Amino acid sequence: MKYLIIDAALSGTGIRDKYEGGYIDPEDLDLSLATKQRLNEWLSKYENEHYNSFNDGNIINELDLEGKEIALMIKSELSEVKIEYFSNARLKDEMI
Amino acid sequence: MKSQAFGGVTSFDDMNRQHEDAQVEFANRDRDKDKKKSDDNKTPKSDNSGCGPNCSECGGGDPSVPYNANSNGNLGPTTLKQGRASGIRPQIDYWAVLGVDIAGIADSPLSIWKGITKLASVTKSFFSITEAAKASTNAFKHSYKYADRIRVRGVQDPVSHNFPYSFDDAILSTDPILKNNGYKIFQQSGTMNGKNVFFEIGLTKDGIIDHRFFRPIK
Repeated sequence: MKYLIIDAALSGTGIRDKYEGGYIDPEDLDLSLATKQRLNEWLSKYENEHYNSFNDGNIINELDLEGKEIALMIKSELSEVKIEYFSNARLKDEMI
Repeated sequence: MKSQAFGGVTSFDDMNRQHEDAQVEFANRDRDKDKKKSDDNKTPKSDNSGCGPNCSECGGGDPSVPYNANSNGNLGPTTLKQGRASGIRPQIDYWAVLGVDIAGIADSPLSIWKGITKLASVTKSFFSITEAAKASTNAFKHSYKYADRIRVRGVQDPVSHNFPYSFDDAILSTDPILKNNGYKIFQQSGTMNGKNVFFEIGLTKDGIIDHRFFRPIK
């Protein structure tokens, strides 16, 4: 069983290992190309908001919503996995 | 002697009474202030802040406040924690030993004098130890502030977000990568547990560090 956290930390890969700590390269997981691309695009958008000090609450809401969708995509593509979503802007986590 | 009244309002006796009343009132105020101070000191301070951000022992702490052991009540226990970590005997040991010594020798004026000089000596050594412990906590010299999120992320995922704060001066001395909105990223390569890693610090345009990160280099 893998315990993963979808987390848009600046310079992270977007996927964190809950118990081992650190970030997992999406290439090391059996994810589809579409999911990996969407993950990277989402990370870029989140990164921009970090540079803006997460000032715009509406954008953060949209990004967190998209992050949860990506988390569901990853959950559906991997077997034996538990997924959480962590909002890097609000520093809150949520079980998916 | 009966004093003469002034303008039908105040006599010397009245003035004396008022003066005495005022003295009593001031004395009461001072006593209340002292009591309040004493109560404040008895109130346990929150110790959920851990070490200060410039703690060289473990690199933890409340990142939003630059370390100042004199001004931040929450950081009081930190000094003692660092003292113990450095092998300094806790204060209570000295007072316990001192109490036994005074009880044992206080049977003559000379003995009492010895006790007093020993008390002065122990007090002096305690304060010098405390000063040494404070001085040893300065892990960095830069004047940037740390955002609260630094500590949150450091506690939550130390594998990627927590490294010694003593590294920060060196990392911040590198040429930054400029990003949108005046944001700067400083990167420095190094090793951690035998692995090559890069350390990264993010600095907002307002001079606040809101990103500390390290990752193995593949």
